[in-house]
Amino acid sequence: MERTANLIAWRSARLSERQTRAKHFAATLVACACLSALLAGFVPLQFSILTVFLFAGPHNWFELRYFLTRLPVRFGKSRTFFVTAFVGIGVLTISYLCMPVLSSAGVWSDAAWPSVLATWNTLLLIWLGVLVWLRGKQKSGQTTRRDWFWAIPAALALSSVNWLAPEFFSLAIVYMHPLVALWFLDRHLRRTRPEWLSVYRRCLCLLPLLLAGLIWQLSSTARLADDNGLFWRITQHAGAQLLPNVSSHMLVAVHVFLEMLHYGVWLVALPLIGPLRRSANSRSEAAGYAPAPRATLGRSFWDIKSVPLARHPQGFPKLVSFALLMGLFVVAILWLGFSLDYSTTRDIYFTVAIAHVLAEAPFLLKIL
Amino acid sequence: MKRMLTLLALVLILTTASIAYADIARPKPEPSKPAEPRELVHTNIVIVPDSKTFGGARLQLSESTVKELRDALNAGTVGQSFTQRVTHSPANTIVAGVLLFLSVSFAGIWLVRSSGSANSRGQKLVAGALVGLATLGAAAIITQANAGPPPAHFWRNLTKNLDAGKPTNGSMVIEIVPDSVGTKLIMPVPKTANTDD
Repeated sequence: MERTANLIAWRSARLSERQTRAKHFAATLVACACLSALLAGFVPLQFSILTVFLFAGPHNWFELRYFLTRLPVRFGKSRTFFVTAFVGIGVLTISYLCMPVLSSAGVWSDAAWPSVLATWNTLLLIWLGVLVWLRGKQKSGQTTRRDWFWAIPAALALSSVNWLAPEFFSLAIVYMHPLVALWFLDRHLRRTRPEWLSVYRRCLCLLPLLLAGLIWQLSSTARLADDNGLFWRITQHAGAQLLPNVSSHMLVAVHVFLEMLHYGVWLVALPLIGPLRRSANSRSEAAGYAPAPRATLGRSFWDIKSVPLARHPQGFPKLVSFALLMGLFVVAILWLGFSLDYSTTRDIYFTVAIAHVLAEAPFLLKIL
Repeated sequence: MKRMLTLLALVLILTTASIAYADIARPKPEPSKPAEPRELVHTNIVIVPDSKTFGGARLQLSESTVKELRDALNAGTVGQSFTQRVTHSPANTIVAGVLLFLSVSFAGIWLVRSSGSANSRGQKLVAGALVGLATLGAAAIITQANAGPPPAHFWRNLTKNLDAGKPTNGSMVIEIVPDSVGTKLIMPVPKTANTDD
């Protein structure tokens, strides 16, 4: 009897502890989002420069680590999916890098640029459509029958719209990409902290409100002074040239705010909740992986053995270590580049960064 | 002999036809249409009433606007509106149409394939969304949509502000017009009811 009472007391204490943690999580999310919106609204250009300098490189490293964590040792039935994903990432990244080089070499005229851009966007959309379809085929063999063939006509319809205004389509990718991180967080919470999910989704309702507030406050402000090369690049990246009737102050503020959310998810939220302890550990042990080291969060995050690809007896610990070390080296190079020539490094970064934008798609699909 | 006669008849017909075609009167040249203004640069302008200026109106352009204007003059295509770009690029429109056709075709295949499944309601929703997307794509060309409020919105208080001596900030398009038109500043100010009568 006494034991039952103790058990009930322990359970209620544990429940209240979980609720308190969920509240802390929600409060942190709301505070970070509001602070980002305020800074983005008041000092958009300065905030953009600072955030890209500080977080652009590290968040890519964290994404690399996350993707390595999600990569299986053997592709098995996912072989076609992963081969399509990696070939797509490679081809699309290389072609994206080649586009400005070929354009400046005079291979095509300025007038042909929108068509080139539209072709690349079409390839991207068809690749995404095929990935969704392949993932649907995989899932249909698991639990319920899912026909994700709709992704092909959807990709073609979007490609069609893209051909009408390719630059606007590319601008849409710039604004949509940061939101993908929120989807990652949602799926991750569902697996690791299901008790936080409802709180998180309620917090997400704040996002349109903050965006509406930014747009309402800044829509009639004068456009930002883009009289130097760097400020001009930032405003162009946010779409000031494509949307001349919209205040560039508002565009930059909204873009920086979304970017800040993206960085926050990859740099803070996912690493904090990300050890994939409960469900993933038991599953990985069942799949022949050695158990993940039971250590504190900070230690386990830096421990190479916490990556299943390195922990598995047939895994690649040296390759994973090399990839992560190379990633750190690139982050250091990026910081050095930003310190020496911020504008050029920013241009190079946002061109090369397309690889991480593309890589998010297959890994997100794998956790759907 | 018969073959020779046929050949002769053919030559005769062709010759007559070519003469007849050559005799068609040349169409009267249509009176040349006045050239449409060419939009070059979208920029911002602040109209500032200044009671202390006696020398005449002045137009101050920032260095970046001049640079943009120069680039636009060189490139020819920069600064075109969305609608102009769509309507002036038939190749893009053709590709968009082909892709839309393919999309609708694949959507049809998908619907037929999955019409018997239990999840058909959701699929009908997606099909509806696809049709909506296609309609939006077509409407985008027709409606000359542009993001943000219409530029005239920012100029609605111009008259009041001029009377009150306040500056007014809004967007402006720099256009190139024929010499006969001359230099004009056209302001999208709404009509106000005449209260003098």
